[in-house]
Amino acid sequence: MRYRAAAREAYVVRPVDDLTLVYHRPSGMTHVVSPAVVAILDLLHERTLGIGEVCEQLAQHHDLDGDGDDIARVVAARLDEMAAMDIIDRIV
Amino acid sequence: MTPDRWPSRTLRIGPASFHLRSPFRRVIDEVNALYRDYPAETADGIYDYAVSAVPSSPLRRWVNPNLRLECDFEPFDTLPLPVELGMLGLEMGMNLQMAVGYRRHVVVHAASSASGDKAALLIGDSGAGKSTLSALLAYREGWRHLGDEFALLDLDAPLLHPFPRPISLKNASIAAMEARAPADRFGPVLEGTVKGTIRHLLPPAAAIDAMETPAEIALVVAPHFRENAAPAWRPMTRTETYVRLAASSTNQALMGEAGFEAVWRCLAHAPAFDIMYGSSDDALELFETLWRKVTA
Repeated sequence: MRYRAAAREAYVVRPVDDLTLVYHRPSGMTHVVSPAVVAILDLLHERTLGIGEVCEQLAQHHDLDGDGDDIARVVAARLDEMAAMDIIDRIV
Repeated sequence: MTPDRWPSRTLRIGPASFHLRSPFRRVIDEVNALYRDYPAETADGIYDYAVSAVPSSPLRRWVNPNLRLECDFEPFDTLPLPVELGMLGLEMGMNLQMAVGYRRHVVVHAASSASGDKAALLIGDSGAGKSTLSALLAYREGWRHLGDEFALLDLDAPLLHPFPRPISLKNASIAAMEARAPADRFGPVLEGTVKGTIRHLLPPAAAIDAMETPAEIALVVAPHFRENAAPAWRPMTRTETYVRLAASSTNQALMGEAGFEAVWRCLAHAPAFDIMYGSSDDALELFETLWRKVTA
């Protein structure tokens, strides 16, 4: 499974406290999300990536705790949530 | 008498206007008495919403009279009301129009009060104490009452627009305010409603005179009244404030990005606190402490 987000302009991102508000212009919905979701979203603007590529690029920019399988499971869960929220698309 | 000849009253409350009518003269007489300080005309002669209290069937105008509401935005699945609660029905109808149809501001189910050109927003579920606290601020502390049912957030600036309809006091708070506000500012006692006993309190005339003047939002408070509770407060995170404001708003999601920005501006501009108290004195003391803290 691969994932893709719309262009950066499709989102209004406002950090608050430890969480972030993401207003998604195409749907008109606002989501309260964790920093991990913001980091993943940042990678996917107008790019189609698989879980492995997302993990790899996150590791380049962030200190990730845990082994590769654990990280992949967490990232896959976040990607599924983001797709369920309709803020990214699943590309089959 | 045809519907266009029914007793009626046009009413302006802040930025919204209503045309109320009913064949039951008593209902409009009560509206005229309670809303006596409010303008009966609109700037252009056009009102925003029509709300009528009509007999639930042609026979029910004359035999065991009761009524139902006919509005631009209709309520569903409501039981007919006795004529004695007709004015309350019109109030519910006006609330429904604001909650469902109004789009000029973000509508938040909240009370609001102003001191000078700054305002506090009081959020919380029904029964939390918003109306009572705003009534105490108006009648004991001299604050300008902006509203006890809906607060209106500006779409371009961190401002609250007044919607100062009569304050809806319920149950124990009726006696608490009867001791503090002039008797001629109260409406009739309405018993047997779904919220118990209700009595409306007309805000001070100065609040109605100034109902076109917005105030800058400076504080958000979520009040909680609990019998004999020790006074306590805690700061709310901006995330919690956002979620509570968004959940309390009837139209924020429908307003798209303008609605999101209005709520964001509110929480970015005004610190928020959750307060718990067991008496009016404690409520006012806590509130004043927080107000001094954020406006110092």
